[in-house]
Amino acid sequence: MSMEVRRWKLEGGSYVKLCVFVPLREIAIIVFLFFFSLAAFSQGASISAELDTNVIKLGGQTKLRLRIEHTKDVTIAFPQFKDSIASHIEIVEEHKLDTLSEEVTTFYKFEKSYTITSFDSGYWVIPPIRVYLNNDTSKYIETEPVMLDVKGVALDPQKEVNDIKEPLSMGITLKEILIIAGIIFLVVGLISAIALYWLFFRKKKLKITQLFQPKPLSAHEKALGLLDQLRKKKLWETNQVKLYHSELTDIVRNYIDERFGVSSPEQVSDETLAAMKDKVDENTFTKLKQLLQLADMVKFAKAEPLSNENELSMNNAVDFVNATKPVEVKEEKK
Amino acid sequence: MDIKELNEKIQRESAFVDLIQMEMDKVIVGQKYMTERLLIGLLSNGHILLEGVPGLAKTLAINSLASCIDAGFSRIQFTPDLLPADLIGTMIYNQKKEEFTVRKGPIFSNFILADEINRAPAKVQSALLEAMQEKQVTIGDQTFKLPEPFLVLATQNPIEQEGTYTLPEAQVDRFMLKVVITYPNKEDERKIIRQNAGGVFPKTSKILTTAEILKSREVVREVYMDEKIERYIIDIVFATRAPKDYKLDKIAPLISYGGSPRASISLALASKAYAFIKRRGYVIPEDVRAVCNDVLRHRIGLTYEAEAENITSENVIAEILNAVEVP
Repeated sequence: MSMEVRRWKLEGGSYVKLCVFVPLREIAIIVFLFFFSLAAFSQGASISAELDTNVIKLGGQTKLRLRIEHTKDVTIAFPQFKDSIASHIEIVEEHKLDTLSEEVTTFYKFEKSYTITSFDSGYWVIPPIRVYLNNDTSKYIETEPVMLDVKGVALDPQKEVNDIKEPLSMGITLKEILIIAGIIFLVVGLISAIALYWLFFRKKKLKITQLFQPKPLSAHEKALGLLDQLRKKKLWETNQVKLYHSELTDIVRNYIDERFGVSSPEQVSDETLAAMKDKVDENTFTKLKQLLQLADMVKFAKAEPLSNENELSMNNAVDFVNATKPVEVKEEKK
Repeated sequence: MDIKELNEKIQRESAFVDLIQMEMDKVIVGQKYMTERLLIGLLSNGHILLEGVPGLAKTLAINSLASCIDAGFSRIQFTPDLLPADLIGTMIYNQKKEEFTVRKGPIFSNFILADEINRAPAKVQSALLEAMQEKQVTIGDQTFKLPEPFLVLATQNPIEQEGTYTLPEAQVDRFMLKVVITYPNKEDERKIIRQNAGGVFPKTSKILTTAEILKSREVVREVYMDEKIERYIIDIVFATRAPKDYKLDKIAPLISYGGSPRASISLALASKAYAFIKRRGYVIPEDVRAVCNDVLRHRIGLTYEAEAENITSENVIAEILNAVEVP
């Protein structure tokens, strides 16, 4: 039996030294507690602290019970701990105040308990816990310090070091399968319902818009319509010759763009004429050339064409569109 | 003035254009595009930067044009050791008179051929470009007006870039046109060989005086430009600055900066001069398009992205011309 000297540091900096025989450690703790755990009862109140067990394994838990007795005329305020009581001692759970006995005329007896743990092996001291009386910081009662022995895990250095074990698979239970199946069924059902509703709604909407949507005009129909509108505006008759020729050439250029894919609006007249030369017959080309060249003279050279020249440009534009519109081939009935 | 009268006047006044072209054709084969651009510069009072590989008759063309006109001509070969004083002149101490006298430099002439302008250092380029802009030169404490007409025709070589001083964007903007000369076609090259192998080099004769040029410049300014053409020019220049406004999102990341207002002015003047050369008293969109590349190619800054993809300013201009609506 070897003897060893142990030293405990108390709250406030003082040390307690004990020579203990290692097999009699528990006895030594009891002796220590016997000398230092003194129940206090003064000023109409007393407090005591005790642990369910003074020896726990590393990470193990024990309950610290604070028992308070006080007379009716005394009010008490418990200390507020955050997450630890002292260094190395952590609070796992703070339990509700438990009334042990209530004698209305004389004493109240309560118990306040905390589940505590420690992750550091060694002997740790729970320092005196102070409870103030009647909200007066000069009047208080406090517990005696309590020892906690945290046992470490015994390691055998001779043994091989093993890897951490993987979590064990528990397997899926029938209940879980039913829950998953239920969720999948709900999601699929919801998506199907939305898809069906959307398809139905869209189809209905399409039918409505189709009813009111006019048939898109072909390039030549559009051009002829615009030329007719331009004629009705009587622009050159009201001395707006430049505007008349600008609009006239715009209609023809846009028609060429749409009908032949020649980007005439972005081309100069020479480029348009060069692009159209091989696409139309000579007579039609001459008509196009006349209206573009006359329009250029009006737009850029202040030319003032005669009335019949203005009319000729319009007629040439209409002829050009009619001559180049796509030919409808009708099948003869047999 | 009535447009008909203006047309007739221009028909009359522009007769010399054909004569100059005929004279130039005697000496230079297959560079009609270049001679036309030289005439545009001459008629619209704009300096010209000619760019082309060696041996394309750039210097000969300018020489020939100058010799067609009864005017002063100076050729300055730009070299790395050239000094501004070699160009504009300097003060010389006269021992007999015991005073400083001004010795004017070769810049005091009507036509200046600045050969290989990018070989001279920045200070010489600046001196020339300042004279081009201000049309006057200060030597010592005296300021001298440069003779009228004053036209700088500079050449530069796109290859052999080592040891050259690239013209900064701000200075290159002072040139109205940047003309890029390409190789002649096979037929023209055959004519060049025959002409040179014969050993007989035709010479141009003087057919025009400086007074006539100045008068022609006045007439060029009178060429009618409709507001539709003005708007077309503005649209083109604005498309170089804000391509997205013209649905040209594709080229927006390729342009770092667009044409300045000087580009719009130059485009308008060059279009008028081109219409004059074509003997018309009014500008049509074809005229704008004809000079657009030469006016804008050195005024559009390309991004690194464009350079990495080998996209030139000519490609950008082509995209713009295809997108901007013609009036």
